[in-house]
Amino acid sequence: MTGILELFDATLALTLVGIAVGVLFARDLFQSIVLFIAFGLLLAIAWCRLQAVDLALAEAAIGAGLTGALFLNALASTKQNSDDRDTLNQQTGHRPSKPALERLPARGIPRWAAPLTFLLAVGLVAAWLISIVAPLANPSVAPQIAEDKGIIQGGVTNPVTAVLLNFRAHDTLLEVVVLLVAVLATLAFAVSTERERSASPASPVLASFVALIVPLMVLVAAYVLWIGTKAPGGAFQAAALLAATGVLIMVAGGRPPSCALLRWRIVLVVGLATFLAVALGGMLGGRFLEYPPSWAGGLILLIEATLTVSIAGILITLFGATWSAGDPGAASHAGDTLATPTTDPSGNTP
Amino acid sequence: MTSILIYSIAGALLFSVGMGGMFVCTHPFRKILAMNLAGSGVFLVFLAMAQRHPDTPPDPVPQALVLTGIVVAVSATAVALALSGRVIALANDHQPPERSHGAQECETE
Amino acid sequence: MTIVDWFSCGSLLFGAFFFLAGTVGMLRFPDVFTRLHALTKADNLGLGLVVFGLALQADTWVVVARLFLVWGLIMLASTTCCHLVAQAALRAGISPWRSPK
Repeated sequence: MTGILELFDATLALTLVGIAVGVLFARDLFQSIVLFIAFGLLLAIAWCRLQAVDLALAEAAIGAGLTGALFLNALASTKQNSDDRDTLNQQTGHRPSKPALERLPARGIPRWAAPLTFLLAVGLVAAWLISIVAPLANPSVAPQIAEDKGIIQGGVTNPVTAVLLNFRAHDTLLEVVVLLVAVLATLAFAVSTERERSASPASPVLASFVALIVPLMVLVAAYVLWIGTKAPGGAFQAAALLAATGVLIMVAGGRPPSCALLRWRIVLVVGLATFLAVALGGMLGGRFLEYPPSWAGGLILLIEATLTVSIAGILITLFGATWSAGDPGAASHAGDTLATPTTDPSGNTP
Repeated sequence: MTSILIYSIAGALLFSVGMGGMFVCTHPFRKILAMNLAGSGVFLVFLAMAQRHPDTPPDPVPQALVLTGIVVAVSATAVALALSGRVIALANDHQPPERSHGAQECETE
Repeated sequence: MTIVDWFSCGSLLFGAFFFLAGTVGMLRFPDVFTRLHALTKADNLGLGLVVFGLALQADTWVVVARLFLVWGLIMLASTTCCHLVAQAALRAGISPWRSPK
């Protein structure tokens, strides 16, 4: 029986590497992105095989769904930009010599020699490192820490959630700051191409699908958040589901939220604010980020709930920053219409 | 071959493929895809090594770090996409006719 | 192996067969519409058979309910996706394939 499982592992690993090569060398970018989404979903299966179900949930929703949606959106808006330029050129009679992208740098690197050497070197070093490290089947101390502390003091029994929000909560606190910085950077860079809405209406099938699936996705997100204290799940996975819901609504014709609104800004920072407040409150009786043992479970759930809202808001903002360009109807004239429907796999994640 | 070893090797290969892609590919979006692939390879090696015993779930600390990593990777991807989208838009906008000849000469070198 | 196990095994194998057929269809069919047809029809039936086979092995009714919920959701999502892809292809001006006479 173990032989069959290892055969499965080997097949999955080979497929992952093969798809990764396909992502890099596919004929056009759209194919690359679709392959990348498939890669993320298969990686989620690999996480399951490694018994990291928390990661599988996050990978399927974030790694495959949201990242894929971000790429498709970016591709659609650059296509649209260059299409606009082409129509402009046709009107003015000016013919560009070459698409601007092909004039971007990356010259001077030999196309095959240097990277191939580099690949071999990295592969060898990695294989060597693994041959040293992997056979060490030493029992790690961390599971015991998680078992002893996680159940007695941590307030939650899912060891991953205990690590994220109790034993290494400072990591998570700073991660939320990183996410907020990413939002600021994206908003600063994003090309805002406001365009009038296309005449073609969004599909009624999509509209009724969204009306049916959105309440269910919110329910599942709440369930994933709640179950995260004792089983795989938690704030990040729930936030990913909520963000996927938001992306789905935008794809179906909803407007992206505006960061000019005070209430949206509150959504973005409420998680960090609650986290900081609890962390500072802990200083009254102990140290920074130390929860009173009897309250730990409730406080962690409070932080997780607000973090879910904030992280979902942040992810939606990251997607929405460039979305105004990719109107589902408007995309159809670009000949790149497949970009719109294929963002849907993020809706499959529950 | 244990499954831990299989996934470690797959992770190392993915990292190599991703790093190679960041050098070889010219389109910025494909470079960002390659960066994501390399990152996934790192996560895979890290988590495979965290699993000290085949029958127990991996160490929760690396799991939490990889979970953090996945979320940070998507935000980094969003920033990179926004930045390269702006670069592409600027390259499209600032394309005066006389410069385009010069650019072509550069390419034929 | 009990009789339930045999049923479960057969159902899973049939499911895998339909997935294989759907994949062959996607690779061999001539245009986007026929490929969609192969994918959405064969794969949904294949998934249903896989879900049925797994449900026979489930310990509690909650697990059975969840498995069938997953099947229903995927059918809903794949139907919608199929419609959107086909609509987008039509809008992009791809006309459905006709057999060459």
